[in-house]
Amino acid sequence: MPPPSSLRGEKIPLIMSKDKKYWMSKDEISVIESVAGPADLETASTEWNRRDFLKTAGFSLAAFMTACSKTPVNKAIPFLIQPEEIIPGKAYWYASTSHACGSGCGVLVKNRDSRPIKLEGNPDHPVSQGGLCPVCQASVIELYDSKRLFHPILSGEEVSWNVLDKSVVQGLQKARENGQKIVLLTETVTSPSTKYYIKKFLKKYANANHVEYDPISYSAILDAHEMNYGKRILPQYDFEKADMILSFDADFLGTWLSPTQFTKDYRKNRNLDAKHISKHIQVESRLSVTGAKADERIVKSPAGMLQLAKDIEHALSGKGGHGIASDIAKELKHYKGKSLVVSSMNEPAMQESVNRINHALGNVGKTVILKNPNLQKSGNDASVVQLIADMKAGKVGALLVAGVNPVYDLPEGEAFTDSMKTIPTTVCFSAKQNETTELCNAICPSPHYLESWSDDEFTSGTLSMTQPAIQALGDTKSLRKSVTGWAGIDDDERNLVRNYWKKIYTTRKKGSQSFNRWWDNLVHDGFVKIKPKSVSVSRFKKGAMAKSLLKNGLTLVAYPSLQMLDGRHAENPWLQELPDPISKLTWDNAANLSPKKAKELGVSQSDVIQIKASGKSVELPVYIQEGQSDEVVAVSLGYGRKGTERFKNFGPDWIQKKATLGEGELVGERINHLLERNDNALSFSGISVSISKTGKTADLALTQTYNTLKNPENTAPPSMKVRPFIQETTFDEYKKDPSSGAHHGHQVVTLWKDDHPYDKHHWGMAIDLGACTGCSACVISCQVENNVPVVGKDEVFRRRDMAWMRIDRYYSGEGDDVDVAFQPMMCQHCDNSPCEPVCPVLATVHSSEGLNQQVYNRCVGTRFCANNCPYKVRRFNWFDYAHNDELENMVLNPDVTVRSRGVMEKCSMCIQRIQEAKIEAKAKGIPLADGDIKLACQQSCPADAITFGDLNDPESDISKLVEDPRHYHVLEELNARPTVGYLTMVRNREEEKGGNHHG
Amino acid sequence: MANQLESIREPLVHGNKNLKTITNDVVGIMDKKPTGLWWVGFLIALSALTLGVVAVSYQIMTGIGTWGLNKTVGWAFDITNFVFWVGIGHAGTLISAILFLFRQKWRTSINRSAEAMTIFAVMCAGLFPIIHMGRPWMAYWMFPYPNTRGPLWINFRSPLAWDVFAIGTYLIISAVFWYIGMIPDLATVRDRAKTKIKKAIFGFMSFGWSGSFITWHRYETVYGLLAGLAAPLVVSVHTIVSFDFATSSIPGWHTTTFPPYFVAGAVFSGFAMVLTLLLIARKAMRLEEYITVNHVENMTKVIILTGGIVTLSYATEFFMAWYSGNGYEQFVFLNRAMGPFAWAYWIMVGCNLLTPQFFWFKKIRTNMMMVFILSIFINIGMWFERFVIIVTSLHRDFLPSAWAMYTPSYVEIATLIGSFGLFFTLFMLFIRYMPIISIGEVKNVLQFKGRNGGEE
Repeated sequence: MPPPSSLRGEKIPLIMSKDKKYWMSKDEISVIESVAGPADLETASTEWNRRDFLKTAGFSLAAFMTACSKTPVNKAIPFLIQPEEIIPGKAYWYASTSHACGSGCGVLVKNRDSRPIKLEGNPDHPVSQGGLCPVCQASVIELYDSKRLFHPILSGEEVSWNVLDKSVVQGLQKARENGQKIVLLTETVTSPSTKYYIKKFLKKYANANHVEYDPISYSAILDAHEMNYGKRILPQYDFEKADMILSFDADFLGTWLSPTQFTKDYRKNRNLDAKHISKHIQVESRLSVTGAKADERIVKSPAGMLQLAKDIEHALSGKGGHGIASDIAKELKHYKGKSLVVSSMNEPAMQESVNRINHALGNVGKTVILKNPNLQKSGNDASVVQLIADMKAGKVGALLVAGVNPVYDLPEGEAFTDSMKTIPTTVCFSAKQNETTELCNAICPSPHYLESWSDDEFTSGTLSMTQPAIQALGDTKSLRKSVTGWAGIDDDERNLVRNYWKKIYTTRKKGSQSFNRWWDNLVHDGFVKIKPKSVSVSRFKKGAMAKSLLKNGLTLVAYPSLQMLDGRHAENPWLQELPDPISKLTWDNAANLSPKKAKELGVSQSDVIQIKASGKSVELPVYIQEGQSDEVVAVSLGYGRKGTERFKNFGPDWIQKKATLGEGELVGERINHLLERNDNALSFSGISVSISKTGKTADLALTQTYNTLKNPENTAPPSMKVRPFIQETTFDEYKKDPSSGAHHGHQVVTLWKDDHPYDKHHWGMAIDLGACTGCSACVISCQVENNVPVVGKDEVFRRRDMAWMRIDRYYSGEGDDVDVAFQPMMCQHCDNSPCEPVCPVLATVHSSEGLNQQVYNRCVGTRFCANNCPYKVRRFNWFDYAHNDELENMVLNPDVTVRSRGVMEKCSMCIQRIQEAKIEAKAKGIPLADGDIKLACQQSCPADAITFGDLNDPESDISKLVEDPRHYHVLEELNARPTVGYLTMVRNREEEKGGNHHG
Repeated sequence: MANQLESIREPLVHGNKNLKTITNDVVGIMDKKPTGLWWVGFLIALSALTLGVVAVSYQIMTGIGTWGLNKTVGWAFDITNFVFWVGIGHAGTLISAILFLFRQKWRTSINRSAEAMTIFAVMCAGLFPIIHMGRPWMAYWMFPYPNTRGPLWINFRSPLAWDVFAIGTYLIISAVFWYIGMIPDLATVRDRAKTKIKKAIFGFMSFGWSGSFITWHRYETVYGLLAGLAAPLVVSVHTIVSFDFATSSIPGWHTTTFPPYFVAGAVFSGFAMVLTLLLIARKAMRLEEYITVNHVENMTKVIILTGGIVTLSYATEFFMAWYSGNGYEQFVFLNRAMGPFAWAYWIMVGCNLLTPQFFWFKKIRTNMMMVFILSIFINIGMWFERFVIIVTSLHRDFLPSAWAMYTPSYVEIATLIGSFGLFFTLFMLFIRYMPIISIGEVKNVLQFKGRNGGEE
C-alpha cells in the first residue's frame, strides 16, 4: 500500500535511472543490472525454482515444498553498499502513467527489489483518481513476458541497433530518392515530445507523413465535431456534472474512451445523501456493463438506435415525436445544460445527431467540453483509407508502423498484407511479434511502459509522466528515440523528454518554479497541471447530414472486449482467464445471440455457427445473451490474435486434459475482416450478416452457468421462488424509507458465548451493490497481489478457476426488460465460519482481528472447508499450477506464499497489507487511522464500491456503513456472521421494474 | 420340555454333520488346491486391484485434479466410496457382535466371513480418507501425536478427526475380535497341517492354543468382552461417518436424521453385500449345509427391517423439508428428484425402496438366485444413495452462481473399481487361506440336533 502522501517523498528515491549516478554507486548499478538482464536469462539455469527466487529476494521462508531441486543460487547478491533509502523487503513506489490502453491513467508502481510487482491508481491523478481498470492491473505481467522481443530484428535475424538503424536510414533515403512516400503509421500520439520529434523526422525526410488511427475508432466523433465546430476534436465528457446521461451504445463504465475516469466521475453524482442522483439511460443493442448499471435500458438494433436519436432530436425541436423518444426528450429538456448525450458508434450520422442533441440541450461547455479537448484519441479513418490506396498503388516506399497492428486491426488486413510485401522498407515498432511484425523486415523492440520514459498529454491541461520502474529488460528503444535517431538527433530516452520540456516548459507551466524543480515535481507526482492548449471552436454549424449505412435485419455488432480491448493484450494470461463481466466467458469469444433469436435460428449455446458478411465469414460458438436485441449478433473484438498459439498446451498436464487450443488454432476468432467502412469511417455495428449452422459444438469455458437468482422452473420450492441475495430499491423509495428493499429477516439469537472477543481491531468490509459496475478490476488486482495462478481453459471449463474474488452476475426479468445485478463475492470472513470447525488439522482458524485465516503449510487438502462454505469462495489447488517461468515469476508478490498442489486457498483480506500497515504504524509510533489500509480489491475499484476498515472503531467508514439501513449480509439467517456486508442497490427509476430480485 | 422345542426348531446345520465332518468340510477347503473358479475370481479381482493401484498412484503423483471434482463439488466418488465401504462393514460387526450378544445361534456359520468382509471393507474405506487428501503424504497430521510445534494438536471439533478415531477404532477392534475368535480354528488347522511350513505359520498364528478347558473359558470371556466392545461400534461408527454431513451447513446434509438413517443404511447395504458374497461362496465351495436357506432368509428379514428404516428416512427428509418451509432445504429435495441428477436419485429410490419389498414374499426369500440379484441391486442403490447425498447437495447449494455439474473422470472410476478389486482380492485370499466358517461355534450349535447330532 503506498504510504499516505504525508509520508511520501521522505525516503523514496525520486528517479530510478542509471544516469542519476549520485543515488547509487557503480556497485549497486551492477547489482540492479544483475537482477534481470535478458542476456543472462538465456544462459541461466532453467531450474531456478521458487525457493531460489525467494532467496534472491532476501527472504528465508520456511520450506513448505517437499522435493525441491537444489540448484546453485547464482543471482542472489546482497547490496555491497546499500543505498540509505533502500530497505530490502520494503516496497518503493514510483509515480508513472499507464499505457495499457489509451486513456493514460496515472499509476503508482509498487517496486520490490527493483521490480515492479503491482500497480495502483494514483489518487491525485485526474484520470485514474486512485482507481485502475482490470487491463491496467494486469499489464504488469506483460513486462515479464519471456516471449517479448528483446533484440532488434532485421530480415529475421537478431542484430544490433547500429545495423538496424543503418539499414532503416538507407531504406528511408532510397524511398526519398525514388520519390516515394514515407509513412509513419501510429496510434494516437499523446506525447508532446514525440509529436515534436516526429515533426522533425518528417521534415528531414520530405514526402513523409504521419498517419494516426485508433483500432477502436473514434474517428466519427472527431469528424462530426469538425463539421459542427470547425475543429477535429474529441470532447472531454464530464459525467460528474451530468444529472442525466443518455448513452447510445457507449460503454463508458466498461471500455469506452476512459472508463476509470468516467466511473469515478459518474459515481460522484450518485450520492444517495444528495437531493437527487443522476438519471442514466442506456440505449444499446448488446448487454454491456454500462447497460447493466443504467437506471433504464432500452434495447434497440443499431439502426434502431440511430432512429431513436433522430426521433429524440425531432421531439426536442418540437417537431413532434411519440413514445419513448418524446419521454426521453421531455426528461432531457428538464435537465437542460446538465445532461450528457454520448455515443460510441463510429457512424457519422449518429455522432452528428449526438452533437445536435447536445447543442440543443446547451450541454456544450458544461458537460461536453470542447475548449480543453480530450487528446486520447485523434485517429483519422480517412487517412488510413488513403494510406491503403497509396500502398496499393505503390506510392509508399517506406512504412513505419508503431503501436498498432494494422494487419490484424483493419478489415483490409489481407490487402494491407499484400501491399506491405511490395514496400521495400517496412519497419515495425512492437513489444511482441504480431501479425504486422511478421511482414516487416526491420523490427524495433518497444519497451514496456514500466521501463520507459514518456511524457503524455491525454487531456488538455494535464501533463502525465511515465518513468521507468525497472531497468530495461531488453535492448529496447522507444519510438521517440528511434525516430530522433533517424532524424539525426542523438540523446538518451530520458533526456529526449526532459530537454524538450526544458525548451518549452515556460510556455505551458503553471507557477514560477525553476525547470529542475518543476521537472522533479513532475516525475515525483507523476503528473502536473499545465496551461491547456485551448482550442478555439466556431459556433455550432449544422452541416450536411451523413447517410446512415446501418442495415436493418440481422446485423453484426463488434465490440471491444473488456479484457482484450482491441486485442493488444491477447497474450496476457490473466486477462484471457478474466471472465467477461456479462457473459462470464473466458479464453474465447462467442457469437452472442438473444434467446429469441437463438430459438428462431434453432441453435443452442455451444453450437458453432458461421457468420457471413459481404463474402467473409467466421465460425464461432453461440452464447445465449439475455437483454440483447433480437436483430443482432454481438461478438467481441480482440480475439484470434497471433501469439496466442503459445497457450496451446496451457494448463496442467493429465490424461483427460483437453488442450486449450487445437492444432493451429488461436484463442478465439478474429472478426475484423467482417467490419465495413461507411465512407471512410470504420463501422463496428449494423453490418448485415447471415448465420448458418455448422453442426459442430465447442465447449465454452464459463465461470458461471446459472445466471439468475430465480430457482429453476421445475424445482422451484413453494416457499422460495427467488433467492434473496440481492436487495434492490429505487431512489424515490429509498428517500422515503432508507431501509426499503431490505428483506426483513429474523434477528438470530444465540445461546453461545462469543468465542472471539475482538479487543483490538475487528476488520470488516462492505460492498456497495449500487456502485459496483462489474468491471472486474478487483478480480485482477487480487490476482496480482496474491499470486493467484492461472489455470487454463480446460480447468475453467471444469469449474476450477482460482480467482479468489468473483463477481456474480444475476439477471432478473426477461426479454428486453432484463435487469442485471453484480455481486462481488469473496471470503466473507465469517465470525462463526462454517469452514473452521470442520478442518481436521486446524488449517483454517480465526484471527484475533476477525479474519478467517488459511494456513497453507498446514492444509492437507481434505476440502471439507470448501464443501461447508455456503458462499463457495474457497479455491483448491487441484494441480501444481504455479509456473516456473523464470521471468514471469518476477511479478510474484514476495509477501504472499505461492501455494503448492493440494492446498486450499481463499481471500485472505490481504492480510499482508493489513500487517504491513500495522507494522509501519507501530514503527512510527502513530495509531492506525481509518483508510490507512487499502486492500488490493478495494484500492483498484474505480467505483469505490468496497469499503474496508475497523469495526471496532465507531468513527470508521465501515462502522457507519454497518449502521446504514442499506447494509445487509448474504445468508444472514445461517448465523455465520460474515464481516463482509453488502449495500442495497438503488436505481433511479420510477417503479420497480421486474422486481424479481425480491423474494 | 426344552429339548422337545429344540427338536421342532429348524436345524441350523443341515446334512447330518458331526464334529469331525464339520472340521473336514471347513479345513478341507484349505487343504485342497484352489479350483479354477477361484482362480478366475482371484485374477479378476487382482486385475481390478492393479488398475486401482495404477489409478491411485497416478492421482497422488499428479493431483486431485485428475478426479472430476471442482470448486463446487469438492467430494464425489471419494467420499461416496468411503461411506459405502464403511457401511458394508457394519453387517459383519452386527452379525459377529450384536447377534452374539442376542444369542442368535444362527450367526455361527456366517460370522467369520462376515467379520472378514468387515475388515476388508474397512481397509478399503480407510484408504479413501487418505488418498482423497490434497497432500496425502501429510496424512499423519490427522493423528494427535505429541510434537514440538506448540504442541500442535488436531481439531477435535472436526468430524473428519472423529472419523480418524472411529475408523481406526473400528478397524482395530474388528481385527482383534475377528482374529481372537479365529484362534481355536487356526489351532485346528495347525493340528491338521501336513507340511512343516503350514504347521509353523498356523502354529505362530494360533498363539499356542492348547484347547484346554481354562483356555476355552478365557476365550469365551474375551470373546464376550470384545463382542461387547464391538457391538456399539455398529451404531457409533456410522453415526460418526454421518456426522461428516450432518454437522455441516449445506442443505441436504444439515439434518439430524442422518445418524439413524446412515446406520440403518449401513446395515442394509452390509447385509446385501454379505448375501452377495456368501451366496457365491456357499455355491462355489459347497457350503449350502452350513450357510442354509434359513440363514439367507434371516438376513433378508434384516434387510426388510433396515430397508424400511431407510425408506422411512427418505420420507422423513421430504416431509421435514416441506414442513420446515426452508426454501433451500425444499429446493435440494426437488432438485434431487427432478434436477440434472434425477437419474441417480431414481436409481437410488428404485433400488432401495422397491427391492426389499420383494423379500416380503417367502418364495423370493428362499430363491437363492433372486436373493442374489436383489442384493446386487441393493448395493447399487446404496452406492447411489451416498452419491446422491454428496453430489446433489453440493452441486447446487445456496449461491446459484456457484452451481456446477459433476462428471467422474476415468481415474475416479478406476479407483472405484480398484477398491472392489482390493476387497475381492482380500476376500479371495481369505477363503483360500483362512477357515471361512467358525468351526468351534458351529460345533457348539450342533447341540440343537438330537443326541446323535443328526436329524430325528
